[in-house]
Amino acid sequence: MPTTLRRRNRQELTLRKSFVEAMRDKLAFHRPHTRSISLLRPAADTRNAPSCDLHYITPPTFYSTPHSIRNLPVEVLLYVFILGSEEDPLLPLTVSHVCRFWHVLAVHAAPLWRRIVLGSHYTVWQESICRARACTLDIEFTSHEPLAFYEVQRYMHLVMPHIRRWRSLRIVFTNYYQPFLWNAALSECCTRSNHTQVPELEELCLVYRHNDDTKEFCLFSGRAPRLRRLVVDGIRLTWLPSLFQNLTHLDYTHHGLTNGCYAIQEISNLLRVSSRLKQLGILFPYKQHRARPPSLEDYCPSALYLPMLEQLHLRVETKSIPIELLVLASLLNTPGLVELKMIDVGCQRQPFPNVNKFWKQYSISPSVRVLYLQDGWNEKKTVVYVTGLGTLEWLVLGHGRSETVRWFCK
Amino acid sequence: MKNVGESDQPIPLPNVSSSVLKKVLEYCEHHRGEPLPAPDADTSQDDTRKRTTDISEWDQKFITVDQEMLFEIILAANYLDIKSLLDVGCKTVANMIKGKTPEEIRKLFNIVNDFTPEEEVRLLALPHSYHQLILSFWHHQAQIKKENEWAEDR
Repeated sequence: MPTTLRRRNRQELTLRKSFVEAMRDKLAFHRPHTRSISLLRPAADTRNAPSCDLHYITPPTFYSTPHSIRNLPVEVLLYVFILGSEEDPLLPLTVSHVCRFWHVLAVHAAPLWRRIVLGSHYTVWQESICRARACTLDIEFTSHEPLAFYEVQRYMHLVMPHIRRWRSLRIVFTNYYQPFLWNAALSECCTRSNHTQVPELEELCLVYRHNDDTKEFCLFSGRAPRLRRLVVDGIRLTWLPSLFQNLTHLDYTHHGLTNGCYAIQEISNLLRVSSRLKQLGILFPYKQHRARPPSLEDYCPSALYLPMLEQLHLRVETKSIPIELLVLASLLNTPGLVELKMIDVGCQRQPFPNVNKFWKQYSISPSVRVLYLQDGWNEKKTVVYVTGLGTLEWLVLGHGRSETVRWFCK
Repeated sequence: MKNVGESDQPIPLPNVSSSVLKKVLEYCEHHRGEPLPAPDADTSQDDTRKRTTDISEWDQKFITVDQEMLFEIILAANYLDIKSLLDVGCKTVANMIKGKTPEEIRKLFNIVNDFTPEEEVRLLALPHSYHQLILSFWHHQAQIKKENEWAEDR
């Protein structure tokens, strides 16, 4: 019989969190500074360590004069760092340069390094991915300046080997045109293989308004079981149920490659797939089309039933309400709708010329309690009409950015 | 407190001073009746939800206190397990830190730079040259800010 003293049978001592905390409270500030772990240890050494094991961390360092921040428990201090890193991607790096204790704390906190902001400093984000260890990743690729095709590919190559760890992916190209940018960014995501599935992905945002590539992208081998939030603008996606049926939030800006009844048909089809939506935003941007679609007068599409929809945001950025939006809105059957927001992106001073036509075709669900009418939507007859409904609790009339009138109806 | 049930016995709060407790009660009074945060929205490090550092107007006014009081409130919220107040406090500290250089943070919290010269050299020699990175990042941020302002003016 092997004895318990034999090395291979020894078990690691595991301590309860409360006990560790109590011990740390007792000892942390009295124990002389120890070098139990080497500072500035290369990230490679820590990759196999637990994602965030506070037990490895040395006690707090010296503060010049006692400051209240030294009293914060390690996990609270880490929580502060994580909150800050959501808006300042360099914060992990910054805090790791403040003092020894913060350095060790930051380097050992894998979730702190999960945010990868592509577009510059390739090696920094390479290092961050290593430090994030097994943690899920938030990938952000925002570019306001023209990037060459190969540059986009190079950055995507950096994160593609970790695709199964992606928690969110946000790609935004603005203010410039470069052909085939979506191809450069997403071609690897479209390869059909087990290695391009995204089991952890919850949020996806793809924005490139100036795109003129008509290609339809079929992403992630058709598998994203946790995907709940999607923002699309300027891209055509294959709307597979296995990708998009569980969506609860969709912000959809039509790619503009189709118009008229073709566009309505396309959006109707995708809304039938994503029928579990709770929030929906729709925008038809202005795009010139060479071919005129068939007249919508004889077009009789079937109704769209969205039983779980709670918030609907209809946005207009043209001088009048696009006919596609008018027809599409009239098809919506939303028995659970609570908030309806009519947004005028261009902040027009004059009401849209066809706003009354819209209200003739679209009937507000009796469940709506909050109605927001902004600028072009804000028209006298409309206000009288919606006030007479008797079911609203709040009516918010927006005039530009600063003049917003709130009117409590009940 | 639910677990304690009804009792005349005093509840000891050795880690919370009366002035801090007063502030905590003021916060709880204001937020009475609001739904409790979901159980999964704890402070665990691998929390799947993204967070922001936005603070509501009232909370911001409430938490505008001196640094000592701020950290006392955080400690009390942590001790009393008031998640939303802990969030407000931590977000405030995060807002104080973000966008600052290590030197500014040291000054803010009276922290001594205890890296040895060798360690500092090694830190700066890591693949990311910190100063170069910071400079180009701020240039990038300033550009985004300018574009946002332009869009808002439009």
